[in-house]
Amino acid sequence: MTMAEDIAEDILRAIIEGTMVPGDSLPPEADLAEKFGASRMTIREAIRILRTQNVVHINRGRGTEVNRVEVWTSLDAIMRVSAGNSGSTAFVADRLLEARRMIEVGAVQLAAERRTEADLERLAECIAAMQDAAERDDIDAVVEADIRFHDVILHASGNLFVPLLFDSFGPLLVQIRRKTSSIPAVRERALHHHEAILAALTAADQSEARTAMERHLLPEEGENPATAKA
Amino acid sequence: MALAEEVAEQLLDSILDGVIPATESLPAEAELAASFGVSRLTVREAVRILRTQGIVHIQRGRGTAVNPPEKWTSLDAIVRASAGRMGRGGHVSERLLEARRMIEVGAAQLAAVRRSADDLVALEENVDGMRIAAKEQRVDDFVFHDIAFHDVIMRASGNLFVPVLFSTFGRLLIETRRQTSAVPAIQWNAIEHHVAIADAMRSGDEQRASVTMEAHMDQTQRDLRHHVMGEASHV
Repeated sequence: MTMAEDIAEDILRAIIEGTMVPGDSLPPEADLAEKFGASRMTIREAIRILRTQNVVHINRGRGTEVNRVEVWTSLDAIMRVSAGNSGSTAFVADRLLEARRMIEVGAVQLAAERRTEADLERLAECIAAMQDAAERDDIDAVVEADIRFHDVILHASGNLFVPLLFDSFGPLLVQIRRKTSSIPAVRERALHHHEAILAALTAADQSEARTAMERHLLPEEGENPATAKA
Repeated sequence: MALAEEVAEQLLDSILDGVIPATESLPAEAELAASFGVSRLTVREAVRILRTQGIVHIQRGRGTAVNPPEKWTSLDAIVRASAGRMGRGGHVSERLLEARRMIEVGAAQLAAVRRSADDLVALEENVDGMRIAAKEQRVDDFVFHDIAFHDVIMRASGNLFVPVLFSTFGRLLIETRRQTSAVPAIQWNAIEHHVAIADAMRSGDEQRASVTMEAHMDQTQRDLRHHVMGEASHV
């Protein structure tokens, strides 16, 4: 990885970890050069990398500003900011998954209380579809059934704002779902987890539903979406 | 309440409950008339009411579609109108609070572990700010420090995407806060809970952070129902 890529990754990490937030300006070039012990040209290159991913933009008069997450380009591109160093790109996927977990665990708890018979039927149907697709080795269909399962739960929460939380990130969250879903180890266990979630929802057991969803969305060894093939 | 207003309110309830998802179309006029047991004229009037509030819009050839909440121009007014009655404003506030709870509790758990010394100082400062504002009955200042307190926790979660989740309805939360923040009893409740949350942050205990934030959200919900919407207290 080049030095510019290294620096771009450091800056991205600071943004993902919330040290710098959308609307903030990056420190001036000269300051960054000193901080990273690099030439101003290298800094400029690092910023150019971040600009191609639409993570930052040049604001005439105010320097380089961090963009809102909704306009960042694809997740793959963000992760490619430090291509070749999958260990450290994991934190982007990690943080996204964390945010996703927050929403989905909350949603399933509400759904345990508010779900209708129709919701339960739809969920069972998604599980069957996922099973069928897995047997046929149709990965796209597996991913689709997986995402549908989760969408039914978001809507079964009986709260307009819950599904909308997913929209707040633009394409990133949809993409992380797709990526996670296509990891073989994840697919294998997903069916089992979905069944556990459905059982908890059928029993209207809020606490069990939460636990089942938490287990489902905790990443395990070797399950880093950064390394998954798109 | 006029019939058309009642129908409009029930339609909004369906939307808030996610029965009619945002960006989907309302059922056809005739269908709505049948299910509400009213004339098509009344349905048309109800839809017109929702249109003036930016909640739905007409799509040529595709019926009436639901707008995403950011476009609901008078949602602030709807929320404000909840004072004194359990009506459509009340429903919005409840649903908002529910969604908010999910994120705040999650953020508190993360922040308990990831918070910095600066974050702890900022939390203290905002609690102090709330105390002073409460003593001097300056509602705007109180709201400011209340929101700032929660913002510190959002940022301390060490996850950029967490505050982003709030952008869906951040503006609306300010409005609901203004409602509760004007009541002295609520102000002191809030300060007490913030102190407990700040302590939990200091302790670095995830579980404690979750418990104290849940308690705060519970209190906010009770206060909203009791003081703002006028429901009898069953505490």
